[in-house]
Amino acid sequence: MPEPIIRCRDVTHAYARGRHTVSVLEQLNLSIDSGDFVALMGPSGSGKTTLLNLIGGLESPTSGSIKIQGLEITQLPANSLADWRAASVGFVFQFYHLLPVLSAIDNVGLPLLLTTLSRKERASRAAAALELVGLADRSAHKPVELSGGQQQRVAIARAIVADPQLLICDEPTGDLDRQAADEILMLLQTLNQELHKTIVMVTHDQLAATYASTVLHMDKGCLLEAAT
Amino acid sequence: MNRATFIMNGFRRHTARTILTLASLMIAFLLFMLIRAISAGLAGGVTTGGVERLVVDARYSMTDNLPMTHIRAISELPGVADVTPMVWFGGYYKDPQTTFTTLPVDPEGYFNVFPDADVDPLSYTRFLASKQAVLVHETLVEKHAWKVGQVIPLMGDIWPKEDGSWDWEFVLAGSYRTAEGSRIPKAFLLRYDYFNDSVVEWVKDQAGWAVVSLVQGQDAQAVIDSIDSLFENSSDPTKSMTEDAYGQEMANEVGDISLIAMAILGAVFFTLVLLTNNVVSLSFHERVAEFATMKSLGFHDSAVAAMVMFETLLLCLFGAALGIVAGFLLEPHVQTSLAMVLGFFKMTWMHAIQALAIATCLGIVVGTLPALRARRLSIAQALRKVNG
Repeated sequence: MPEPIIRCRDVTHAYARGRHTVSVLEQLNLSIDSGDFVALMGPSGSGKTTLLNLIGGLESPTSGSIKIQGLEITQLPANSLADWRAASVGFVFQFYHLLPVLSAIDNVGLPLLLTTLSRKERASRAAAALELVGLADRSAHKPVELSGGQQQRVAIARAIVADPQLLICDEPTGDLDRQAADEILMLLQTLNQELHKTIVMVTHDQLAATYASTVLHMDKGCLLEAAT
Repeated sequence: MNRATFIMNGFRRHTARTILTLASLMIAFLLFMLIRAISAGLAGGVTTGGVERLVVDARYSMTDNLPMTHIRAISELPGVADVTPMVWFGGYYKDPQTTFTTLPVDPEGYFNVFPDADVDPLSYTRFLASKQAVLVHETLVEKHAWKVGQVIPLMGDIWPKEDGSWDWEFVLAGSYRTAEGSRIPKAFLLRYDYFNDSVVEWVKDQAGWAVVSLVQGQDAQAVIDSIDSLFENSSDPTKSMTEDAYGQEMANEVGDISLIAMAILGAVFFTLVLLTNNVVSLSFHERVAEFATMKSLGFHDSAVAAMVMFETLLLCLFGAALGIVAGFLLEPHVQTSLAMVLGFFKMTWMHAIQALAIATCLGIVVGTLPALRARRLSIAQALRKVNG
């Protein structure tokens, strides 16, 4: 049986609020296979985004183990964790978080500044990623000159430009209208099916979840039943 | 895009804010360049051209005069090569705002005492030939576009003439030049004998002070002692000192002005620290999501902190560079008027290096806190905060 790409074991996460400790995740166990497209659903405060952040190495759990492609990321020092994120994970956020002073192609090429690729190679790969998301003709546009759906496409191009195996998407359609949302979800589905990217997506949208191959429900920091 | 262009792009985020901040920095550093040059002038940062001279003044007050009998007696002392009386004439040309250093001097003695003042023979001959003649520093001649032979009227405001009027008239004999950095005043030189003949009776046969040149190899202190002891028991005792010591004493007289100028500069830079800090802090808060995004993409904490620090340093250094360039561009325009007052006004590369050093310190002071905050920024918390 192949090793799952994501394996969480007894993950607990809590943070201090004043004198009190607020528990967000409780002894959570989760395995996601390579090439899966998982939708994480649940009410606000159920711990979906926290789980996503832990899997993406954006924060560390209070206790427990998180292995991604066999690598125990909870033990990595900050710089190694950053290097791992640069090489292995792409992030897509609800509000895109593109840099407003950079053009679409420069936003896409931003993660490649961390590589040893030449300027020409970086430009070529950024252009290819933009082409893949259907925005080749908008490469010189600033984010403010693009629609919400187009900005999210640029963000997806930025997430895949370094060719990571894992895509972490935090409500990628939460700020979009239905049509734009469907286009983004179809794009993610294409990346999953044709480029075999493993995708973990948090969403409140039942329709969005239908694009995923697996839907996980969370409540009060625990995973409920899984539906495929 | 590379890392350098990526950082430079940051300055285009709020173009108006960047321009206004750069303008503030430029003006502050322009002020720094001006005040440093003025301070150097006040501190006597000048050369005597290798000529050793003494200045003989009244012992108790620089406003007291010396009798001309003193000047003649000094000229006969051993070790004295030559001597010229000098008088502070005051006055103005056409309107009270147009003033310059005007000095009645001994026409021969002056150029013997100041051989480093360069006058062409023809001008000098004309100066010696007519009592009403004047020799004027070339910068003044150029500024007022005076021609040789032109009658130049001056209105006196210290010394009335014998006939009770204040109107003095002189004829331009020519100009003289001085080496850059010379202590020789860029003055309007008139003949002492003409001044003495024309001035009101109670001023006749008196000098404001005297400048003495020494015989080569003569011990200056010995001549100082012999001059001051000669008039020790007279009604007009003297205080003699070397030209360097005199310059330093004059600088000390106006030392408080220098102190005030430096205090103003301190206040300007203190305000600038607050202003720049405000701009950098504002920029940091606006870009929290960007820094968090960069970190999520794999940029190290130290790389993001370095970027914030580098941006701040670049802003301060660029502002300072603009101020330095503006200072050097303005220098020729303010030099003529300020050199009249200070005797010496020059911006140097040392001042520019000091300005850049201050800009570096300013950048470090202002940039350290945002850089540390960028380094410590938690990606998850920052994004959570931005996303609401």
